[in-house]
Amino acid sequence: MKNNRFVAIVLVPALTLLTLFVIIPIMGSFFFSLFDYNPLRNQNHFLGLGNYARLLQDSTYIKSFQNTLIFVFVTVAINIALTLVLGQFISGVKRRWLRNLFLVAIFLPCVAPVANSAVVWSRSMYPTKGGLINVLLMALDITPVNWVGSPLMLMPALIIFTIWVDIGYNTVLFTAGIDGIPKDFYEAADIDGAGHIIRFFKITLPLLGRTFSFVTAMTIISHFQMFAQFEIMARDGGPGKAGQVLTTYIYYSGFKAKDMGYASAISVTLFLLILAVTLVQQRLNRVDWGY
Amino acid sequence: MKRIFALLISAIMIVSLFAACGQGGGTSSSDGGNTSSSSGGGKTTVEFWGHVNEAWNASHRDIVGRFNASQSEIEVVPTFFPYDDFEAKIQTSLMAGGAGADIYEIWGGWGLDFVATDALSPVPDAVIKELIADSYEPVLGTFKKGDTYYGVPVEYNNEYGGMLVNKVEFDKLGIPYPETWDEIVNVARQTSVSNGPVFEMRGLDFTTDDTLTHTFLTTILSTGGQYWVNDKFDFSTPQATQALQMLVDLIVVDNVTNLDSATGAQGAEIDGAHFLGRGEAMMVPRGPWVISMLEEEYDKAEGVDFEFVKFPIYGPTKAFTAETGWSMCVPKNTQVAEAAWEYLDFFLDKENLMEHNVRCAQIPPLKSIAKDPEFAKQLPFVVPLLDILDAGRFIGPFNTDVLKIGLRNVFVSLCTQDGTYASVSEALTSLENELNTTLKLG
Repeated sequence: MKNNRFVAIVLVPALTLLTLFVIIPIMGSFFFSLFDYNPLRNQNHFLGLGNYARLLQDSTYIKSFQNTLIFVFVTVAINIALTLVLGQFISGVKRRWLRNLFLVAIFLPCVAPVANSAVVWSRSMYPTKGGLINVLLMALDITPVNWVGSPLMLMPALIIFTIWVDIGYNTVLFTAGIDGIPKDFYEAADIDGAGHIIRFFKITLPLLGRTFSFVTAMTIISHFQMFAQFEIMARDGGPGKAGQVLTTYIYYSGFKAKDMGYASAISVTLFLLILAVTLVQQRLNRVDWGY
Repeated sequence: MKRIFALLISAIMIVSLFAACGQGGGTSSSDGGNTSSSSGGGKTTVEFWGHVNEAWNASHRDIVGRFNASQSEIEVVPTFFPYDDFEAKIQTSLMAGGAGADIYEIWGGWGLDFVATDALSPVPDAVIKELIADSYEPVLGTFKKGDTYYGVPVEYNNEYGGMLVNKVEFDKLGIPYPETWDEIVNVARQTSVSNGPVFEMRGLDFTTDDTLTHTFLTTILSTGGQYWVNDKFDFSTPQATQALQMLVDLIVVDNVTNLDSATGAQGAEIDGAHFLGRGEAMMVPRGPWVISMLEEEYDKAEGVDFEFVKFPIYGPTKAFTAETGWSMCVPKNTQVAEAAWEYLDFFLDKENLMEHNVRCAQIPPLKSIAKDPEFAKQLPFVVPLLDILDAGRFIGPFNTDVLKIGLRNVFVSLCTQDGTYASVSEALTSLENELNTTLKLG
């Protein structure tokens, strides 16, 4: 009993933070989404579900919704596959200094703020004239690509950048997860004559279940919320709104169109989308065993 | 003991949390330690917030210094914030009620949203009567609601009528600066050099938001059309279709530039003026305020590397659109409104305002300054604009950022032929609906 009280008291600061900065804003967003809300006005008209009805007819919202799903699923799939392979590769490196070197090199982009990296990429990697990628393409006699200025190439450009900027974290987690798998399983597989691919799919992947589940859930949630690279590289949604996602559309609606009620309604749908996808993902990746 | 310790730790953490929440942040530069508008200590402190711009801030500081030196009762304290955060900063401080400034420098394009909420105090009769008599039409447009005005102008924001020309390249080619629309398009066609998506030289770069929007709207007006009818956008006229088609053709048919300025393909803020600074553009229609940017960022000199000349109006009707530019407002909730207006009265004095306009390379909002030969003598490169100021029309009572973004999206879709719209008129119908929806619900 005493112990419970101690735990409760210790939890108070964290719960206070959670309530102030997470629960109240979520409830606030839902509340404001029911109004034609402008915080500077003395009176704000109650619209009921009017903002939600408007969403269904808003082609920009629908485009943002589609773009968000495409971005999250493509980026997360590539990210998880790539970081698993990198984790497996780094875990197999025997020399400690070389292994640390790989980890540091891959983790470096995670250290810099995403906004800074996005500015650097948009000014020095992607430009059609003088951008590093196009300089290399031209050296190979390939026509330069208009990465950020073309509706077709904008989303691939954003996905490539996001993968570069975000793989370090998951690689470190997967490397640690793979290192934690008892060596006995691999020794037994060796005796049975299993090769690298069989060992990866039959031992590493299943026994990495808890790490895999955690990494996937966190990556999905964070990718739904990504904002900086879209705001910097895809100016106001970019050409053909090909880079407009829900987070940038929330910002546009709230701070440029000053339609806070509508922005709140979009926020609520993003919240529900993340909740639904995370619940489904947790259900699919349920792990009820250990080693 | 364990419980007491836990309670203590818990209390410290909660107190730290709230203490952290209460601390201010940001990268403002203030000229005084006092941040409140108080009447204590002998002098009334008036907080003045503006946005960061070195030349502009230096001018403000000097005028404030002279005012403070002439006063025993009032002290104005200027603080300048980065432009990107400035609008949100004003919005937040107005919401907080009394926690912000007593005078705000507000951009007319988004000032309308503040006027609509009754968060600003009316300009005193004595000040506004004189201003109305001496002002050009666009400079007060945003701040008028009914018969009341809620802001006073600092400048005439003119994004149409002037054009930067690459003097070095024109001299090399040995051709004069074009003066008519047809001449401009001909020179632009002949001088544009591109290789796939890479433009080595842009003959005429007009796809920056400001230039695209004002060229589109001005072309509608100058060909006898209207775009704002019964408090709504109306792009259903043949003039609107013709204007947008003409601009799209300049990209798709004449190939005088590409969409890099509109899409940020070379970096988010790199636009036509930057291309001219890099020697990659021949002609760039822009406001005169970019001249100081070219001088500071690219070490280019007006009259040596580039010049600022007339950009003609397309149609026979001599009319162009202009937004309400930077202005000054006093919030409704300030405790020192009288002192704030006293300072603004001093700032708007012809001598002070002319000095400010000259130092900031701004077109004056007042006819008496624009027509003063002394102004033209001090800022000779803006002379091409001074003759046409009477033809300026207030762009309209709407958030111009929303219009610019909407028009840019439609324009890029049409130029890239991405399949969103089957024709220019279909694109205009879509734009009209989108903008009018924003008006209705915003």
